[in-house]
Amino acid sequence: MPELFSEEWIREYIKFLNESSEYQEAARDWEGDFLFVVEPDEELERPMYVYLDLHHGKARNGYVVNDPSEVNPAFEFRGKYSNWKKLIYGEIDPIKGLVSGKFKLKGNMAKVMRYARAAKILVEVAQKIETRFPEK
Amino acid sequence: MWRFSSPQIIFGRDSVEHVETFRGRRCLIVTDEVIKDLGYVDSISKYLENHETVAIRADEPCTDDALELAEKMRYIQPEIIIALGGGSVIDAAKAGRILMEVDIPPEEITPFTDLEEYGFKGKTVLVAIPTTSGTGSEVTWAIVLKDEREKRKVIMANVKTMPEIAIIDPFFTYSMPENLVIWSGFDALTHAIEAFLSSFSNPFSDALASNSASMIFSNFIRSHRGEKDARENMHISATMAGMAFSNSQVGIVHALAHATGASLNIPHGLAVSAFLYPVLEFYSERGVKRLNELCLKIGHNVLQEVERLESVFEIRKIIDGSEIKMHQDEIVKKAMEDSCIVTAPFVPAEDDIAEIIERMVERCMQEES
Repeated sequence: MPELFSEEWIREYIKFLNESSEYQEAARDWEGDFLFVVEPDEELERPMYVYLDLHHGKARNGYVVNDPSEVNPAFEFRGKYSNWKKLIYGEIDPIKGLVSGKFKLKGNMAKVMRYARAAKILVEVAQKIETRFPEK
Repeated sequence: MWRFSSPQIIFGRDSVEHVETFRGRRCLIVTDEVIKDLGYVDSISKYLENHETVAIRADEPCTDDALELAEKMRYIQPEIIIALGGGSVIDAAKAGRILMEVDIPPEEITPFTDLEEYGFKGKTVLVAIPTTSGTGSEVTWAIVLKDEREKRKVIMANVKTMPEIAIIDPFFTYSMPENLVIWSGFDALTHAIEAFLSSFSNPFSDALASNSASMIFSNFIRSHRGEKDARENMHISATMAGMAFSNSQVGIVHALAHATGASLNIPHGLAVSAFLYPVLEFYSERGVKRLNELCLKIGHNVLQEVERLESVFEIRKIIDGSEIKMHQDEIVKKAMEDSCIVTAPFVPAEDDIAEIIERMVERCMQEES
């Protein structure tokens, strides 16, 4: 079982995402790369960073980032580790999570608003992966 | 975690007198040319000493209008903005109030945008006085403006856009034209139903949504006949439905109405009235349980009641099904890009949206033949 945001987890995520016809339909015209940031809290010591390049309904590339200044993504999505866990367990809706401030998004918000369905599918695909969560 | 937000609500006959409490403060009345010509501005300004009026165009305002309004607001520097009009006027004032303080494109007013990070301080108080009974804009944090370049409706939303005070005085609705009574009534009914069915629904929004749906079913036809008590009830119901959907969101009917309205210039209320039944029928066939819950809660068969109203007000005769059919692909694409799509009871695929449009078109064409 891959650990959340490990290289193995990202490979599996990209595989599932690229197999999703739903995502391909919803993000057909999407262009924009993301940095996902897991902020430490009482359950996690150090932050985690994952880069994902999403282009026209596919994930072109994705990897673990050690130093976030090495990448310059169009979007950044960040939240505390405990909230990421809730997101992956389906306990937080991604849109509600953003509206209620559990997650923060940087980038062209207006563009994201037009791809709300794709954003939901991105999370649903992550929920399909049997994930082991790192413990402190 | 979720939250319930609402302005302070002053309601009932003569509630407009509340603006007298603003006497002595610098006020800006935002309205449109039609409302101005009806003399409604005088019913507000007579209570004020220090005020100016800006009238925007009466048809659906676009993002550029909001920017222009913001510029005027920056110049006038009001302490209180009073938006007097239908949903379009109130939406423009909501956007203008933000854009007068914050230099961002209107589309960047999203639920995820931290406006305070951009310097928004909420320097003015926004008071909304609706003159129609449908949009609920006076109590919501949503704004719908047209993007003329892209021919689409831009749905903006941010909790900071919500007016601080809503004054729900039925006086302004007594002279509403017949079409407006029908279309705004359907808009309010759709807000109530979609709020209840939304994937973001909650006990607070449910209470308002079910109550307003029930009140609309009981008052809509009488309000159309011009009975004053029914019109007052519709005015209150529309605000309740607005409070419901502002805290739980809407769904496919609104996504389709925004898309159709932008592509074909169909008034929003007419578009929702045309799509409400086909969407509910589609939900019913897909086994959306919340639809049954709503029926049980309000003691009405919602689908039958909507069909009855659709028939009484001859909605299907007004819609040109062939024109919608011709633009189907464009409408599907725009509807799928509408943020309302993700708060439907389930997130539809493109084929689902196309099927709903086909059902609607077929119903209109049956009516024609």
